[in-house]
Amino acid sequence: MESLSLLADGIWIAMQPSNLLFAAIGVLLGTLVGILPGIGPSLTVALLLPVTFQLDPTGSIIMFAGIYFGGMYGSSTTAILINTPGEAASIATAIEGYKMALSGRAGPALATAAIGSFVAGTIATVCLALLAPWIVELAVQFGPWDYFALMMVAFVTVSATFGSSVLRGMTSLALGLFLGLVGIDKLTGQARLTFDAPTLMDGISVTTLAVGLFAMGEALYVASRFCGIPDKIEKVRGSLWMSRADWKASWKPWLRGTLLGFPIGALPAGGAEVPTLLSYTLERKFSKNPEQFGKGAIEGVAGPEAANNASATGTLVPLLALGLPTSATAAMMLAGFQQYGLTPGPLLFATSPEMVWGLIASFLIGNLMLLVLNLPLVGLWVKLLTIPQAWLYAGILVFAAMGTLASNPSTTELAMLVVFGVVGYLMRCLDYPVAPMIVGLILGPMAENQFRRALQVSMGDYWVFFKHPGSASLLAIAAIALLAPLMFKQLRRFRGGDE
Amino acid sequence: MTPSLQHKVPAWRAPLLVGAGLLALAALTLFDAWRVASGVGPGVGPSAAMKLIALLLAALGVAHLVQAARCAKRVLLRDALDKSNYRSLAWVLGGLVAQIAALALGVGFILSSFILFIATARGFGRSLKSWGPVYGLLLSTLIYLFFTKALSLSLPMGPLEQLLG
Repeated sequence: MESLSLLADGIWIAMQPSNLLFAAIGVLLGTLVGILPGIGPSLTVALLLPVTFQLDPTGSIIMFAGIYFGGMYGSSTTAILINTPGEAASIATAIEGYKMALSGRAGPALATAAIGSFVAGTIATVCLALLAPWIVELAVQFGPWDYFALMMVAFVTVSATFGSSVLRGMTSLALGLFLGLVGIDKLTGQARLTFDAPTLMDGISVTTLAVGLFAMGEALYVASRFCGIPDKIEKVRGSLWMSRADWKASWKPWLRGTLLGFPIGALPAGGAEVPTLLSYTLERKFSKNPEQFGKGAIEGVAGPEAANNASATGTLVPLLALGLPTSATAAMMLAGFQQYGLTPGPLLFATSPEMVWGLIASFLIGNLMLLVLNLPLVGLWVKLLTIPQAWLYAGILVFAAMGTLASNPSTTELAMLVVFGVVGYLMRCLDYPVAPMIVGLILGPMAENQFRRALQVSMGDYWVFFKHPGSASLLAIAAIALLAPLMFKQLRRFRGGDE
Repeated sequence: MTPSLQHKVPAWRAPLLVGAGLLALAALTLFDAWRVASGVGPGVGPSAAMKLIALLLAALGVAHLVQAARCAKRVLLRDALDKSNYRSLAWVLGGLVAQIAALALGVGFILSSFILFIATARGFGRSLKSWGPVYGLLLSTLIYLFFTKALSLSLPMGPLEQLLG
């Protein structure tokens, strides 16, 4: 149980007053931004990244974790109260939660979401602490070919397997890979796709792309849909507390959601949508009165919310242990790490264990803080929802411009942000997912690096990827995951079904 | 600008445009890969990934074109782009361009953000006579002060910023 004692050390670090303060500020800021309609956790993280620039690494990463969890909690509040899920993972919450709010049970819906997130987050963090060192031990024996094959699996799962259309997901990924090429090649120092523009030499910044695609894209999209009718907000009526019956209905879904969410998140299987929707279906099946579903069943909020939080913590397993981001939010977290000059992966566990364990411990503390701060403050958060769209989006744009200018004070960078914003707007209109593009930008150069290192080791022998059982089986998984949905589609057509 | 309800859009338009765009990007990448020298020693150089990604882009571009050809006869009742409120969109985009121009002229962060704020608010139906300008000025000043003074980040300076010290 060495990892548990390391976790205890981590808790000690995270309990330092200054770190506690960072965690509290992070949770509050994260909720503050995440609660604004249309802003999901990954955008919250992208927008607030510059806030943490000047702190010491441990403090800023801890604050960052707080922002992440706060953002997730804020998004589920919005989903319950105004039926606008910030991202696909809160769709299930929005279905049942909003119905509960309509029938005057917004309080228990918010409470079961918060407590469920807390339970799931805590269990998942302990699982993370137990699992990560084990994977790190395994990862030490990984060759560059294994890393490359693992990244191929991540590419396929993020873009093809779970999206609405393989073609659209792959297109988004390919655009990200294309942007990843821009800049100076790290191995030979040659400029690629820079066209002699000095700003392009350093490559495309992940933050600029993420803020452009998410924040600008969303603002432009909402503006293009503007018709002068404001959103309707459900008041938080009735008791805020859950009754004995609510507790009884909730605790099993919390645990089942955690059980579904953590493993799916920890596998490089892309996003929290799958476990949340699985959990929703599962709870409907297990429920004693399934006719309640669709009319505001508390189980339909408790399960998916727990699954959402557990899978978000699960994605941190590949991120921390292997340096592999498998969701848009994880990609933003990786960008954050890189901003502080840190590369997550086996090496980080060896070189700065106090930081890694401090971070893992601060997840526990962040979750607890969410429960303590947010539930009583719910009235204040609800007030935020009444900000008119005009001020809200104007403020978001000013904030987004500020973040870009703070990291790179040039008008060219700002122009790039606007261009990415237009791209994000078009992708929203034409129904292309944006997350694969961000994962492609950050993972593409890493995959290329491993590919070239593998070939250097093998003296140019391409079979190196198939000679090692690990990389060979991973590549096979990637190929199956890419082709399976296409084949199912063909099968369906064969049976006479239409797309 | 606003399309009428009877406005019809051919279903092949979007995939055709996306496909053409992807092919153009593929050509651009391939063209640049040509210029980059391939590496020395075992393994592949910096141009290999460029060629690979150009191939991927081209394949996806062709797939889009095939899709466009397949639905050549179908007609959609207005796609998402045509439902857009272009007036609002133009205000917001105009605000962003105006901010960049203002920054390039050395106006500084606060005033350029102020321009962006009121233009965006205008796009969302709030005129200059509303509280918008006050909120905008307050917000951009507060953001400036918080991030430069409390977090010691640097933001573009102009006359107003110099006044604030």
